[in-house]
Amino acid sequence: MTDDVKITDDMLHAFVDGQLSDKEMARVEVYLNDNPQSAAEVADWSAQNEAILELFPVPTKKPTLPSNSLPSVSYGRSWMAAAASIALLCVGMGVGWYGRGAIVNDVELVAVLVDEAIAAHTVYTADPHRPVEVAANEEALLVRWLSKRVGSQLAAPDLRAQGFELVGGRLLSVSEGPAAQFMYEDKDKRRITLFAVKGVTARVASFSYQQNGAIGSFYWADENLRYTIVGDISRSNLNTLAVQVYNQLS
Amino acid sequence: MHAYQQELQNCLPDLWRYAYALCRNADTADDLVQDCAERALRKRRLWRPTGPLKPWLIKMIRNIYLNDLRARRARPNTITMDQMTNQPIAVDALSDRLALSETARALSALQEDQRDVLLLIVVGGLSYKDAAISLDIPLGTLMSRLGRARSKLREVTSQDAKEGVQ
Repeated sequence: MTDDVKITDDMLHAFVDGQLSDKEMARVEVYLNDNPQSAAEVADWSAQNEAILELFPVPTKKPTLPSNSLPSVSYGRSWMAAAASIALLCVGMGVGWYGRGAIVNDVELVAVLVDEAIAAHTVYTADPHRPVEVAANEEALLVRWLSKRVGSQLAAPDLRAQGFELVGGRLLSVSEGPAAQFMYEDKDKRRITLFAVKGVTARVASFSYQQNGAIGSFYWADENLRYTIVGDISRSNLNTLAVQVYNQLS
Repeated sequence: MHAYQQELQNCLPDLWRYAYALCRNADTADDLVQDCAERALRKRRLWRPTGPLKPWLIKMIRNIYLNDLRARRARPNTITMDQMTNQPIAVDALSDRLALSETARALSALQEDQRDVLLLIVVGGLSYKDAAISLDIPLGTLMSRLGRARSKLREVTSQDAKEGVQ
């Protein structure tokens, strides 16, 4: 009868998060030794914590304070101090205002890129004369050129098993910089495009489908590039192609 | 350096990590931290937060992030990875690549308020009390969200493991 106090779930959570005192820690440990089911749960929670922290790594460069930090002037009553603080406030407001636009959320960025990929698809697949800048008969040149411009090694996936032949590709200009577009065509002359733009993405693989009228698109990202495959074909066919491209490029 | 600035400086790495967990983009996290630090320095002149600085900063950076999110134009209707797995072909062929981000997917399966709590505590490193203050919720609510988040994660990942065996 050393211990009558019940070990609550809250205490188990606090154990995992290191928010207990040493004494409480010891009590929970004793409890866990006698309760394998709770012990398994606690072990899982700890593993979750580790996985989450691994997903969001510590900053690679040490964040620093903004350079225009606190002024060394004291809160004196002189008009100079007042003027200095007003000036600082203005600078601060200016920086705040300017900084606003720089914060671009990833979800938003993806939405913009997908829009751009769809727009480029619509414009160029409909072009009867010059759908691509460099045709498939110069594939090596095309890939080398686009890789260089986009700034990351690209490849034109082989989709012949799915009935799509490479038509060629072109360079696009999008909000994130230079982007590559590869165009493919099946025997019915239906065209799909694969869009790729450089972008250091988090290690989070996002894969999303979007339907704009008849045109469907799949977006995903790997370590270096963001991709969108766009086509006026059924979702399941586009899905197959997306998976195929994904597997070939990874 | 003022004590306040030193304290602020010490909080920045944790702040960055939490920002990164919110926006999942290193550049954006940089911007958020910078913005937050500037505001913290400006507000310092008007109001000194009582108690430790970090919960106040974490709360501020979260607000900056949420305000920014709201200010963005409406997003198109995309579906999440989870919804996509209902499609017959989809994801099994991708599983190798996705193993890395199993946690990411599991996290995205959580309700937002649950994920919020989990990130504040695990990544933000706040005490339960400070996290509750940051979110303006009672401690009991915080604990029940934390509990639900963890059991949901457990459920999702064990489901993934089962599917992986097949």
